[in-house]
Amino acid sequence: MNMSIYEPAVESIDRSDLADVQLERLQIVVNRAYANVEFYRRRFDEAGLVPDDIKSLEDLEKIPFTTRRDLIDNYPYGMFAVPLKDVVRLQFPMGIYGNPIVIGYTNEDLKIWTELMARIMVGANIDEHDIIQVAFNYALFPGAIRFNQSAELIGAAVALTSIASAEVQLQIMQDFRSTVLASTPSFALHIAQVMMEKGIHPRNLSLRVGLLGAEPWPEHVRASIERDLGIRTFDIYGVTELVEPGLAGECHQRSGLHIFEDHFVAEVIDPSTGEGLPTGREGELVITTLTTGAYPLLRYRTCDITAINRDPCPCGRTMARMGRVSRRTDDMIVVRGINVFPEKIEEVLGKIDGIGPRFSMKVTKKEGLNDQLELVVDASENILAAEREQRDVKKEELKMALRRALGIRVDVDFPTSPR
Amino acid sequence: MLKIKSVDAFFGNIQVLRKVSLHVHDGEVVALIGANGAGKTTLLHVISGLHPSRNGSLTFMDREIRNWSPERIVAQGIVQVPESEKLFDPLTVLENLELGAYLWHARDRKAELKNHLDRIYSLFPILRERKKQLAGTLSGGERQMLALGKALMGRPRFMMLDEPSLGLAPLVVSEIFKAIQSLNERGTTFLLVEQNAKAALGICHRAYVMETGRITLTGTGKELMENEEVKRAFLGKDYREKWER
Repeated sequence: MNMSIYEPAVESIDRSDLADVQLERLQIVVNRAYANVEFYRRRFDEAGLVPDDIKSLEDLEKIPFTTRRDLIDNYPYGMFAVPLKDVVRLQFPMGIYGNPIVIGYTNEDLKIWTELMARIMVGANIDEHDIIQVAFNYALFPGAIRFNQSAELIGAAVALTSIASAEVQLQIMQDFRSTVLASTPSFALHIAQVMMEKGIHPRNLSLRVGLLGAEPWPEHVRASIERDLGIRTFDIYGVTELVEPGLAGECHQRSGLHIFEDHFVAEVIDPSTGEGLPTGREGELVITTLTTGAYPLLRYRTCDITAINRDPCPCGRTMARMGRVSRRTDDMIVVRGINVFPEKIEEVLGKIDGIGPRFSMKVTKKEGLNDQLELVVDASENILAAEREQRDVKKEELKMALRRALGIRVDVDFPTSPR
Repeated sequence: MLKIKSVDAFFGNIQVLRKVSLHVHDGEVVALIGANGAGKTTLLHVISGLHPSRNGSLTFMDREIRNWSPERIVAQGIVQVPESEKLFDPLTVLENLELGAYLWHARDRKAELKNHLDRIYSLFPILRERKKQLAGTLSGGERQMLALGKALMGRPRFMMLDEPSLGLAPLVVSEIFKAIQSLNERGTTFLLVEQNAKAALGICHRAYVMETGRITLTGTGKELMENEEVKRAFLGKDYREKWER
């Protein structure tokens, strides 16, 4: 098996050299954030901190955390470190309470991001002979475009099948001999199921690698995807507010996802106290961008729970590895690769008369993955007493509103008796 | 090769370097660009021991050399090319070059000295033509070449240049920069301070941007050349906003 590394000088860097590079870059990003980002200048001033206080990597923990709430509060221009003229891409991850979040990238940011995804692809043994079928929804998952650019960088071909049905995906896989599937694990499972129904054997496909992510997927799900599609799968990780995907990815060892520490500092903290945890302990992942030009984030709380292993990997990379993420510190759930925040649901309920504000979420699982979201929502007595048809109209109205807001179909139920 | 971590420096009470960290690998050309007064020259002086520094660390080949005396630092193989006005004007070109070798020159090493001179003459043929001429009579470009040649006579492993292009005609600048590249190919490591950002970014492997005593950007020469902030701040003559055109 050929185990190549895209940038060996960087990915296998001596860890003490890496620490030097990280300190230089940390001081630069802190200097820039303090000078150019109003939000960080205020934060530093409140904490009685100046950029010169960052003398070593350990000083990072003096810097206050940045949260998703900060990004919402500082919309639209408050988090940018460069004039908007230098920003070449704007992305709008889902915000809450009618307030969007904006993330911007300069040309250089996009170039770095493209290189990071290329590292992941090469780490998964993808090269110029591969055809990568990208079955992500480009509208709901803007990071999916990175597959195209990174594939171009390493010379691989891309088949943009996006939201085509599993049947069409399978036909294209056969007609064009796609070798790599990039999708959510849920969709990979769905494809496998359709294969079974149609009697397509993995032998009839040329697929050999799966780059899967955007939702938690346990090892037993991995095993069934690998068995049913006849592929080897690699977990990819990203954070919507930073880069997604491209922050970390599995190598052939598959014993954790390598974090690209030349561009990000990763810490693990106790989510309740904010204290740093020793290497190897599980806690909330906190990321500081080192090279991001447009939208630097210092100690951003990802809400993802993981542990970090800094031992060298048998693959030759020295970059730390994070454990696969299966839990979060907040109430966000991921349904078929789409992030759902309960706050967003509250916001939708608040706009429709006679329902809410109380609700509960029920998630139906399919083969271990979140498949269908059902909301049980309080409805006013008027609605409950109304004819069934009228209730259905209300349900339909709510479903449509949720679909628009969340991007997925949600089942709705009104409990007839008080919960 | 050279590693600086969180170094501060002052002029009296005024802080001119603020937690500066940078590194130069063996075999690299690293450029330091920034406006006047950003602290670039001070940083070179801190490295060569001409200006005191506080805090942090400064290592060369894994040895801590911060605040060593200049002569001990030169003996490590670190040479700062003097500004071209600091030549010995009443001496000839040859005498100036020989002075550059004073750290290692001895009566029984004449052949070695000659070898060395030949190397420098091959790099700057004009110096051979002018070797009997007094340094004070040279043109600006020739003086810069002599300054470089004199520094090279010290057989440095690590050379620092302060504004080698200052006051020179574009053609001469490109000759000096070509010489730097060819010396680098033969193994000399460079730290280059330049206001001529375009020329410096064009030949360096990596660069740092300094602003008011702090490092505010880093990247490869190519990356920085394409960086919008660098374009606006340092590549001014070749760069116009749309409304300025």
